[in-house]
Amino acid sequence: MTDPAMTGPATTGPATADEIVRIEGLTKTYGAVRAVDDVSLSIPRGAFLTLLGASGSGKTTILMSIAGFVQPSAGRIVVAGRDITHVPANKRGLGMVFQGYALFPHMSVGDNVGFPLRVRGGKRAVDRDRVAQALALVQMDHLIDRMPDALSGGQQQRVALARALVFNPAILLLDEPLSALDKKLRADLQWELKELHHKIGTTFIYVTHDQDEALSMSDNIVILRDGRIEQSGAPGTLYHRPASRFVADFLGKSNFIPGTAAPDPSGGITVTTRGGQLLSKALADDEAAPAGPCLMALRPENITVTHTPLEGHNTVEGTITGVSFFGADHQIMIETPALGPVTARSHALRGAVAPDTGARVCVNWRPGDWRAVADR
Amino acid sequence: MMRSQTAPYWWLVVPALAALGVFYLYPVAQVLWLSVTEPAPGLGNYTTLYESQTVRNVIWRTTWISLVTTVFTVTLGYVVAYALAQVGRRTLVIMLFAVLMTLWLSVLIRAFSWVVLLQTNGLVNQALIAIGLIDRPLPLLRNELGVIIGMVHFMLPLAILPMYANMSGLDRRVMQAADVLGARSWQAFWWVWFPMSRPGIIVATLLVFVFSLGFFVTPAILGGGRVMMLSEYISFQFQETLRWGQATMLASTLLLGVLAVLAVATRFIDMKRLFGARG
Ligand SMILES: Nc1ncnc2c1ncn2[C@@H]1O[C@H](COP(=O)(O)OP(=O)(O)O)[C@@H](O)[C@H]1O
Ligand SMILES: [Mg+2]
Repeated sequence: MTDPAMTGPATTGPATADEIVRIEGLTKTYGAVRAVDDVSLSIPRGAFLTLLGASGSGKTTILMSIAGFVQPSAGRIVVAGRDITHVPANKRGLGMVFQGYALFPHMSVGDNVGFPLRVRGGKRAVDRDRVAQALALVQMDHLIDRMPDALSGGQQQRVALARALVFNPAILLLDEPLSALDKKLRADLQWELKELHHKIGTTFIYVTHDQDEALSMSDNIVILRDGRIEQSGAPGTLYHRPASRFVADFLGKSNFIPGTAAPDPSGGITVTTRGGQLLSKALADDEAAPAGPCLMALRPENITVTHTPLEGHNTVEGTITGVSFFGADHQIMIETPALGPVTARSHALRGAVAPDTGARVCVNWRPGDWRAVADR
Repeated sequence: MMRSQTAPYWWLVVPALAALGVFYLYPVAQVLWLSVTEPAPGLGNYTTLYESQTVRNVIWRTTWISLVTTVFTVTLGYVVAYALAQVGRRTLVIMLFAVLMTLWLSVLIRAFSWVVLLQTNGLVNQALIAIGLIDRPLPLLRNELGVIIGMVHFMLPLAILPMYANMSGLDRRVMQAADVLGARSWQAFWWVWFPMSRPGIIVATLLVFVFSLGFFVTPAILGGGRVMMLSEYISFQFQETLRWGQATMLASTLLLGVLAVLAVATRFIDMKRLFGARG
């Protein structure tokens, strides 16, 4: 269930006005390994697009193909209407931030940031003001004379950003730029990056394996699996409408319930679980009705745990087998005859029942709050 | 505690230290001692350093041949090291093998091979005549040119290996960064690669220069006795004229010269870092 505005077939139709990058049928093979397998994407100007996938799913290979360091085995890359598939990296005019920062170790912060200006117009083209401005963008202008090895990881990453942005590239490529930082700093920098993107309007193409990072920062996410696009779309769309078991499990967590679907006279669907219980499923406007054997995905946070069945909900009974406390909420493991083991998440203070192990409880969710997904 | 942690391991280096003391420090001390006692106690031997024109010539010749050798060796070695750092694995193995093979060949064999190549009707002269570049054989042996050719050849692996070690440790993403940020290949090389490879150049330069100062076999054979460098002159004093005082004085001077070069170098660079003790 791919968002048609985001990806499309590998056609060579005219570019839409606000499209800045188009990738058509990109494939890269290393011997028998298909690192990237027939990937097509259209990226709107000014977007924050994230390539999200587990390690080895082909994210870096796609980014390096755009940057010009990987020569595709097949396919085209078009930037601003120009086919750059065979243009050398140093003629593409893209900004890039590398995973290990890759600052020039023998140059000061100012010289690092001035480098893109220097290669374009010689030493005299290095405008101190522009360098200072770029550094101010990332709150690093006070360290302009430091050497890189006298900076912390977060500071180095900021300098790398300023260096990639100083010549106003239309596109900024970022390969897991925050993965080497500790959790707290990472969260801060996520905010800053998002704000920066908002402020300067440059198109960001961002690579990460961290789903939370992808969800919190991106306008669009492309989920990659074994070199192929599994699903793409806005974070909310992907989260609430995962097309497959893989996506539902990769973004957040899900309970998966196998069953058999049949149309319901009222317009919805009836799902019969393995345990024989009849449950109802309401369809969203654009949602296809499952028929026959199906796999239903149910998010833990959509479950309400109570002592008595809730009105207008699907309800199954079960026994609490375990509880984990996470500060803001509880994770409750419940064994149900109808569905097998189910995980629920409930707010620590607003939970309807005290989550005591061994307690008999009702598991409730609205008919619209679960979804049929492809079993792959 | 630190002490009890490290103390046992010291015993492991004791045999090596003992061997150093017996086979190295003791003879060196002996040489220094002889240089101020033979034939008479005092610094009499050292006055020849400025009194004897011959000794001054030998020292001057040794210095400048070593300098020229160093410049050529490090330059040529840099090119090879750069190539080694760029090629794929398979080519790398072959090239490294070729570099190391010259190290495994005896220095005598290498010097005599150059005699065969460089003599009046040797391969080099024949080839140059055959392609019409010259019409009379060039004098390539028994002169400084021959000595320098032989020495550069001998020293090349010594220059290539530390520079290659340095280059292979450079972060390739830094070069990619230069590339993607718009640097042309010459800019990426001179502004990024070359400065980053400087530590390797410094190690190679020191190594080759210090080795050259005390080099014996190659200058003796390719110089044919006409290009007398310090080591050969010292050996001459020991074996032919039996002036041990003079010989040990020159050996001591060479040792002090090398130490002086290293001392000056350490003033400007961080030795520990260069040799990988940290950083
Ligand atoms: N230079 C290469 N040679 C051989 N295989 C490669 C090379 N680069 C990447 N691969 C393979 O391609 C696949 C995708 O790699 P990559 O794009 O780096 O994934 P990701 O960045 O998502 O972790 C992996 O299976 C990886 O082993
Ligand atoms: Mg990667």
